[in-house]
Amino acid sequence: MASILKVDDLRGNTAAGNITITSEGGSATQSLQQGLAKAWLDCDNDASLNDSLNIASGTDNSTGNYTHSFTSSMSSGDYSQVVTCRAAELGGVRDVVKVTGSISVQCFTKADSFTVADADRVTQTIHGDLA
Amino acid sequence: MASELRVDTLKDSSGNNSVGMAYVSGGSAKAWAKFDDSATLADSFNISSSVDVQTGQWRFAKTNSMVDTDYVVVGMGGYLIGSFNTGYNSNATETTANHTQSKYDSNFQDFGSGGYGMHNVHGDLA
Repeated sequence: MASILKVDDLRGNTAAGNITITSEGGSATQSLQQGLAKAWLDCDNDASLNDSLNIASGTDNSTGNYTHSFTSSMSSGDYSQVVTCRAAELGGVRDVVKVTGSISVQCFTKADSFTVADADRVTQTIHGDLA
Repeated sequence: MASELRVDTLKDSSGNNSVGMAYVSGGSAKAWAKFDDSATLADSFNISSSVDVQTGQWRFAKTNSMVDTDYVVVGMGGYLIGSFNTGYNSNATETTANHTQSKYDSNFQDFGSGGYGMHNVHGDLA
């Protein structure tokens, strides 16, 4: 019989920040909190958000350079993020400032030795530890 | 005392924002890491060891293995000029020997001293 749990706040019993879930294959367990994306976003080339999680605001710093602030900060700058940019001639992306409260990325065009360029869209996912 | 709750669906108390446990489990990253050019981990999840194989190639072993080899590794380099995600490859050696249920390679343009790599793993745990 299917079961539904209605709840607003999930917390671990032994440690509030650690709830264990069983793997798909049934032979391993992992932390629910550790596996969850802590932030993600889809934004336009002026840093305005189309959709997001845990993103408070976006700033268009300059051509191809965008900063987004977290609503809830990360515990350190050692989180993992993956970014993609969409545009006809874009050749790459890098993160330029990566701190607990925000992250900045820069998009480059491949046209002439990786010149900074605007993207049509930027998408990011961030995994790591919240503060 | 440890407790176990068996449930198929989670909802908020008003009955909205429903998510099935299959999405909670299947949608959670099974591993992630931030590492430097010598494969030293700054922070990670479900990574038991990391090795600097050669320039631009790093190998990671997982604490808990995947159910098969059809899992996803996405990543990018960070900070230094030249550290772009365009060259990222989770198995540049083109051999299954380095992409197994328990380990995988991350390969992209070497980011050198001061740079770092990041990646996330999605798929099913064993």
